[in-house]
Amino acid sequence: MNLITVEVCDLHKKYGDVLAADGVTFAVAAGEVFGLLGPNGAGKTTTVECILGLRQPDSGKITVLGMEYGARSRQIRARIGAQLQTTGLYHQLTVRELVHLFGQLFPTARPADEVIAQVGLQEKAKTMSKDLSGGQKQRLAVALALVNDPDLVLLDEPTTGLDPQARRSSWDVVRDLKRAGKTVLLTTHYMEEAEQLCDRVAVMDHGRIIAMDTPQALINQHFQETAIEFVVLGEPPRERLAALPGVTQLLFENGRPTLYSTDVPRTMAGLFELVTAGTLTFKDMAVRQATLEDVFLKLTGRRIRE
Amino acid sequence: MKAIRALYVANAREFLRERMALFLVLLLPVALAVFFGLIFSGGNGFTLQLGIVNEDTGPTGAQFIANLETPETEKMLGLHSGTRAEMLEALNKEKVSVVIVLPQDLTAKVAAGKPATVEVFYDPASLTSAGVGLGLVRTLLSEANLALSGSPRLLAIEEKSVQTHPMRAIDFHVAGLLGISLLWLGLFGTALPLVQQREGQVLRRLGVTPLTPAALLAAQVAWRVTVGLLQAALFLLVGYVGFGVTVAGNWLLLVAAVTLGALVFISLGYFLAGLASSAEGVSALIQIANFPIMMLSGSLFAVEMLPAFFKPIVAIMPLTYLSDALRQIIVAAPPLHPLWLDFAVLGGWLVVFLALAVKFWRWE
Repeated sequence: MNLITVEVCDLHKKYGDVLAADGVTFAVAAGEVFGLLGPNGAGKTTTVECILGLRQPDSGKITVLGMEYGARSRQIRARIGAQLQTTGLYHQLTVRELVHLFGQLFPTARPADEVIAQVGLQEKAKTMSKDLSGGQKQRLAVALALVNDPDLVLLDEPTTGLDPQARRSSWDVVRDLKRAGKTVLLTTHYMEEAEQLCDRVAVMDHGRIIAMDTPQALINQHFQETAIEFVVLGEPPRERLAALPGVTQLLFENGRPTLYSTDVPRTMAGLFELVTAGTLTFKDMAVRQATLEDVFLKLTGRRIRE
Repeated sequence: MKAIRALYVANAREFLRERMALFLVLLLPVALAVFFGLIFSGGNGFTLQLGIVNEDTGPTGAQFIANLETPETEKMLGLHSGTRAEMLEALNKEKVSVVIVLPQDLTAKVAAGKPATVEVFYDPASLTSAGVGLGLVRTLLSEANLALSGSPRLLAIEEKSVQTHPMRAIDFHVAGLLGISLLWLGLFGTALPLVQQREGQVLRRLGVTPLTPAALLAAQVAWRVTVGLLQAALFLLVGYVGFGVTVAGNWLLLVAAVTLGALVFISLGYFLAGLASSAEGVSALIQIANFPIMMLSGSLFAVEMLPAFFKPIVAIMPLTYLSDALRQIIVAAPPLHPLWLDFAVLGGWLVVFLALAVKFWRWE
């Protein structure tokens, strides 16, 4: 048994002048849920497509389940399940027919109805794929990724376009996979999703991995602080805010300040002093733990979703 | 193998549920055959209204006309005679479909063993009845020719062919439109769905399963050949029930011709799908390919009706040979080419289209 399920080593892929993958290197352990996190255009999908053998890397080495693409492509594909970001389906086939069809393309397959139930599409089993909503299509795509009972599941933005409730049930699907000992590689631009699901996260931007660790370690490594957010009415007194007791960092995004503080009570006391002195008026204050969103903001100066 | 079977079923379901494809590929050609059959045959078998102008002063012209009035030809021919002006007027008013003029020097030339020129007039506007009529006239003239030159053995063969299978409009159209429907199977039923599947990334999704391209191809082609055979069955059923058309030739040859024809046009469909980059693009390509292949093939009307400069194009079009083969097999029509040549040319086109399809094929 291989302990490493996916190994990507110094992957480069260029489209015209755009470097979609610029030296991507990481390894996913067996049984791990690994997340590629980053904004659109960061190179997540390109990386996944190279792992699926849909694209030929310009350079670099990819090993999946201990095998490389080429002569063993079919062996690899028999053991992986993939949900592509845009999945084409036969429009005039029903959900059950499609799941059954894809099952027949593999050496072994799970019963169609079991897979359909797993993604919560039982009531749509007899609906043609063209008549499904966007979220239902997304879940069908996940079902097709599970039909061969794969060892490795690749999910490319599995919850994009889903409503919050559907997103949470998709998370349950991923948790079930982890419980069943499957290896999952997923991409997302939802911080919360990465924090909730992933054992480890690689943060991607401009074709590079800029940070990689467990979500909590990433947060701890970059922030011992607590985030204080509020909306300033009028011109914010930047220097005064940055000089408040306990503040280690002040980030502005669209004119909205986020204070990172190691000592929330003293920072708060300082804030209220500014208010009393009449130099600051604010509303909508929130105090929260730092998240991956803060990590991304700190590393790139941008929020992940713009 | 189970993958091929599953994809075959998926293709069948997609096709049968796509009303437009069903209509274009299966129903429209059959409806056209019935329509042409009805309007041109009057339901009661095809009778050629033939105008004859006898300008010959000797006995040969009269003998020729007398030979036409036999019990065998009575049902097929409505004979009208008169002066050149009268008959051309009748042709104009569509009282006759074809007019033949026997020249003044017919007797003299035949006696001298020199070729005499028989003029044949027809109205290209009434394509079908003139098309069928021309075929008949051609047969009649060649019979007369053989009789005059004293070749009785050949004459006997020609007579038999005319006797057992008088060519009616529906006979002409069942085979011709079956050929056209196989063409449409390749264009509307193959090229268009392939590009749509590529645009919809169906092919890409199938690419991340262990499915091999060969298996995918086998399933797609097998299903379409099935459709081709279904088309043939439908045509023959409608022809038999509606018009009493029976298959004169060998059923195995018929299956072979339909299969070969379907494969030729399916390969053409794959080639066009590879050539086009979008659904709009392939639609345009289909129209461009469809019109000349269909029109310049003798499928809708006889090849003789076309201006001479089209003849070289007709001589290379694959549908020319498919329709000719189908006509020979189904209704024992007078051959344009020997059957083996029809099959050989179709086989050649299959090789050409296959090579082009492979060269231009792409998954995304």
